[in-house]
Amino acid sequence: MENLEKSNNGGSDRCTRLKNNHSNNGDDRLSSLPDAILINILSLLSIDSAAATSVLSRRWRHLWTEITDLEFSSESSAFVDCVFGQLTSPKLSSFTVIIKLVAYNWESIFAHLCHRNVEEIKVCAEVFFPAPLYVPASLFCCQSLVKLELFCIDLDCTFTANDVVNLPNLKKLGLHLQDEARDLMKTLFKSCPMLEDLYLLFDFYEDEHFVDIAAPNLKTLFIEITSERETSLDKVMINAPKLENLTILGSYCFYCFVENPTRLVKASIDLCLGPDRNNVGMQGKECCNEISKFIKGMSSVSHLKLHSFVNLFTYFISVGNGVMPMFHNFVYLDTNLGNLIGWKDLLLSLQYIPNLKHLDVSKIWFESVEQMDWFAPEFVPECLLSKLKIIKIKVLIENDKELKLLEFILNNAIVLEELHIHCKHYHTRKESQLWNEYKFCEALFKLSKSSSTCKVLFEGDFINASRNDFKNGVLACQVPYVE
Amino acid sequence: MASTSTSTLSRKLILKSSDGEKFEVDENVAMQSQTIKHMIEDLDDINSPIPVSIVTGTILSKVIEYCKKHATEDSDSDEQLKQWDKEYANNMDLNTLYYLLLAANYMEIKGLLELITQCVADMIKGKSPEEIRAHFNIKNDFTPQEEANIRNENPWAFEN
Repeated sequence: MENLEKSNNGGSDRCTRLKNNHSNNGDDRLSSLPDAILINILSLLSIDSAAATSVLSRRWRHLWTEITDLEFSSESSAFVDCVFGQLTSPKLSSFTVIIKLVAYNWESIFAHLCHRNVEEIKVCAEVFFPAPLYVPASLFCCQSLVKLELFCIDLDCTFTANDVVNLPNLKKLGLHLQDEARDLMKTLFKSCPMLEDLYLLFDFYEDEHFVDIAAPNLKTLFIEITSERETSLDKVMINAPKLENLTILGSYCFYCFVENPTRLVKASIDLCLGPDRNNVGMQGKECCNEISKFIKGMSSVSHLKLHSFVNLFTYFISVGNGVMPMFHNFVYLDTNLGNLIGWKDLLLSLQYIPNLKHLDVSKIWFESVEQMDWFAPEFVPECLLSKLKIIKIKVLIENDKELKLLEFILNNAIVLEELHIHCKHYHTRKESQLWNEYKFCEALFKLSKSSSTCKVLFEGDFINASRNDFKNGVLACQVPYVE
Repeated sequence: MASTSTSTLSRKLILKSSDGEKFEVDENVAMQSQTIKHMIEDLDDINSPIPVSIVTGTILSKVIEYCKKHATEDSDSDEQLKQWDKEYANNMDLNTLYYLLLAANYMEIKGLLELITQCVADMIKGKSPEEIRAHFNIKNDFTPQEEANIRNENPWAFEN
């Protein structure tokens, strides 16, 4: 015990000094705090606020030069070299820049940062920034880096096939890359052994890019590819066996897993941001084949969002396209369909998703409704019979063929608790629409259902009603003003 | 002094402040302090009071309040906890904040140290040097000429 008290003597002295001042209220206690604490405080300020404390008093004269976290948000850039010239801390923990309207000397900044063994670099732009961010190849050899995030800004990357990547500690990487970074895409994402979180934005004007991701510890992956081309031959190869969260946005590309991720829990695939792929050519078909195989590799998933212009469910069930595995953990599906053909393919696909509880189906806007009649599939998927609790569907009520589909669902979904029907047009608020909605509701609420407790809810432009509002052939609900 | 029986579920520790005040706390509350954690590891008899030699009773009670809130694994969401932290820090006067900083630093309570550090940094943010001096009672010991020279070294720092 004695030892303990002795070892704390240093602290004790400091405290006594503070305590003696206690009675005198006008005293400057902040300045009497130890350097380390004050430097921590200054590290939380932007670089100009921190440097401005140098005039407070002699005590504060040089304290700011020891800060370890740098945040630049100033509109002048001339001072950057000046700042690094004055800093004394041998190791920087973070460097953040919110770019405003100035061009920075990035070559010099990155050289300084690497020299100071920086751990985190984050650069982002508040608004569109015209000049690209120059990234020297040497940055990818900064061994101290743990996080590197260069967002919202085009990168001018000098990386060539002869350059090497050496980022042994990098855990988080976020980049926005274009065609010029072709060589970097092939090497960078397979050269960071500790990588856990990868966020990539690509803008492609040219074709046939190859993005090679091989990261044994990767848990979260986000990829958005914006391709100017209708048919893209870009290829993304993913080898991340520990992947848990996957998000893919943008254009249709050739995605594939080298080894299927068995820990994948959430996946979000939204290909409705790229060019309209309603009419896919041969190349498009090949691409959709690859994407369907890619999704088949996600059999451990529990939540999946799958939005696509092309009906991918056709590809899942088509013979000669590889076996569809059973998705035992799969409970939540959010997807979009164009028409009843898509619905039939979806119902056929559901037999591989035996435990699905929640189904959310929206509508692909450009698909017309004149289409084949509804034919019920030969068998009812297991999940519809015994697992599905909530179904949300967006419909076009001009078409009474969709009622047949709803009838099929209500007749077979024994444990269903809620069926939500959405029918929002916004742009056609006409009286005729109100009448259509009314007729549709009437027909909908008359449908027989096998789950006695199931709520049926309708939400349209005019009518919001539930099945309970419909009694003795009369629909009792509030209707807003009609123009 | 032989160690008496202690429940393995929730052992109690006694913390003794610099002015002799004693606080009985659950072990998991006290263990948020890395310093106390290391002390306990070396201690044979956990029933004897653990001295927190540089922290007064008034401050120690506030530190314990923070540790208790952050030790319970109940249903408080991150958002609720953040709100609690904010109110906790806002209720302190400047003097208390300084002593809490010293205490959190000495006791190595990372969360508390970060909370109070951020709180003081927020007080500095957006203020001119003159306003900072006034707020914290910092006495300017530079001559006007010296101060002008320092401003000239880093004029960019004083533009906003």
